[in-house]
Amino acid sequence: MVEAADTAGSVAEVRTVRPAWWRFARHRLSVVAAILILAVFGLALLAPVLPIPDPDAITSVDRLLPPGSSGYLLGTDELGRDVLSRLIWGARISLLAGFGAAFLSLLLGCAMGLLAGFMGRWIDNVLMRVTDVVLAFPTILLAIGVLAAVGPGLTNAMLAVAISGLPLYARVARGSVLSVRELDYVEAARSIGASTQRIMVRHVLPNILAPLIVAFTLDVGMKIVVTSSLSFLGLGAQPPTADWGSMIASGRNYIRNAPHLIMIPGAAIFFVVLCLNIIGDRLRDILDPRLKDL
Amino acid sequence: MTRFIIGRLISTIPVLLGVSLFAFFVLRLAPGDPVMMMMPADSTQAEIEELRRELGLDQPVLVQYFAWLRQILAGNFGTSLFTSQPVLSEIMSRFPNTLLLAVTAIILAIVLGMPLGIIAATRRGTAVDSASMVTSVIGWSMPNFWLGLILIMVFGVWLRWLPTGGMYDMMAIDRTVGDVARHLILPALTLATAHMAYIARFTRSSLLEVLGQDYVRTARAKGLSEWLVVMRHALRNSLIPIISVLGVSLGHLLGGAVIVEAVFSWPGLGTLLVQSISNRDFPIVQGGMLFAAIVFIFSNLVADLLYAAVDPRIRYG
Repeated sequence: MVEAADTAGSVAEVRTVRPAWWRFARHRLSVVAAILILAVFGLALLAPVLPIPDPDAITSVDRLLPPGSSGYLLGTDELGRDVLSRLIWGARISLLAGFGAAFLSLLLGCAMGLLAGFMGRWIDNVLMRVTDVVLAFPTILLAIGVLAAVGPGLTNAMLAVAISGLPLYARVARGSVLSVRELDYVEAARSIGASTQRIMVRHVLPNILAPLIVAFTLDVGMKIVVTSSLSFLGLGAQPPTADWGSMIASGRNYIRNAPHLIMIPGAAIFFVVLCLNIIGDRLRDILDPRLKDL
Repeated sequence: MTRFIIGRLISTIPVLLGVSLFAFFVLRLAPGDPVMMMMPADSTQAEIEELRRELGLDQPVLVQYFAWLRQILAGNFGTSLFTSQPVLSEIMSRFPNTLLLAVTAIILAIVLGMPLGIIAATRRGTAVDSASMVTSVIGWSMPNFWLGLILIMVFGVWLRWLPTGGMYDMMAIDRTVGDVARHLILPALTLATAHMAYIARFTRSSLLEVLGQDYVRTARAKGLSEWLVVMRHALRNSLIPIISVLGVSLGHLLGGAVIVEAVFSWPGLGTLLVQSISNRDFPIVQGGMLFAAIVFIFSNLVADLLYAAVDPRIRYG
């Protein structure tokens, strides 16, 4: 029994020496998910050069055709627009909204966490109370409040959702900074006279990135769901712009005779978010096991 | 314990103040003059100034904030621009419906999620574990408005087993409990799914942590059956962190309910807020946000106090 435990221990040690990408590649499901996400990204980027019709082109004779109709692989919507084309063009908007919102949260939240953790004292106190306040509002409600004031639209929706994501990154960054700032190399940098700003950017920041990357990967999926929910409510991307959430909203009126208008864009959101969550879970296990309950 | 409760109560004050500041100033971001928006297009300058004075909008912003805060503390959340009813009574007429939806969803999420997490933890590393965790990731990744529409399509449109929306049958003469229950099933299930996934994951990781503890080994060494070890010794302690999850869940559910209510035309707080945005009824949006945040802060507070009551390490830690 003792021997077995020792062997298990040494195997685990050998594994931790492997580079992160190697351990990621060993998990087949995450690799498949990563490839699929890259493929969706590729399609979205290539939309202008792909041989697909204009996503906003209306053909009134071909309304509400089911998937597989000749000339329309995924059918047409209530205005006779090609669903495949709208799906691919919509990917640009939906992915941009989700990634954009998460990235904004990451940038601002990380800056807040870095400042709070490194400066301490009243700055820490004030910034952390700000995150408490933001956390007190459920994400969608906060976004709705902001959008009620600044008006609906894609950019505003992204901003609104980004605000609600600040606390996550601020807290993760702050926690990591608190443990990193006591380490010898920070002490060393300070003793050779490096400025606070230089220590934060050159020495602390690179060493707190791992948990932030994990948080980002797990957060992007959620941000895609939230921004498409806002579009579904009519508060995000405005017509005629194709975006997955608004496609579902307009398809909703045809739930009886053209269910594909709901099923296809919804499946796209689900599929992308699922892949991102699988990748995020794996990255968390590799880079930062402490975050396992995130 | 009394000291803990008092300390925890005091710590909510700055958050409540921050929340009120946020709710007050966020709508000041709105471009344009709120008074102009409220008045008919043909009103005279004197009428406009009159309303501005009446609303106190000619005062400095900070004075306006404190005046507003005083009103809020007195339970006056303002008046709806659309229905001319007090905001608080509009909110209170809808909130019980949202609460019914959210509480049903929490119960469903616990009843479905906890067994899933227990099964996964006790069969760690097996196909059963993977399958239940895959189910959980799927539930977590499913956009709830899409899931809701699928359920409407399958159970409402195709099978015709359940109503597709609303809270009561429009044709019914009396509003019966059974009728509400039938309308409640699909939205509650939709709202519960993501939380079921979350609770399943949380139960699993929490139970796995406890299963590695010495007293569990002792229980096993005494020769107890695995069932007793898990149910009587491990599970109880692994449930403690779940109390705090439930506090957070209520907040998530209030947010999620906005979307689910929109999908199912459920007459709750969420539908009210979404309608108010299109009506540009700012007092309702402001009041609704503030109300939801206060409910959320207090449900977290209650969860924390329960947590401390169950686990003495929190009180003295």
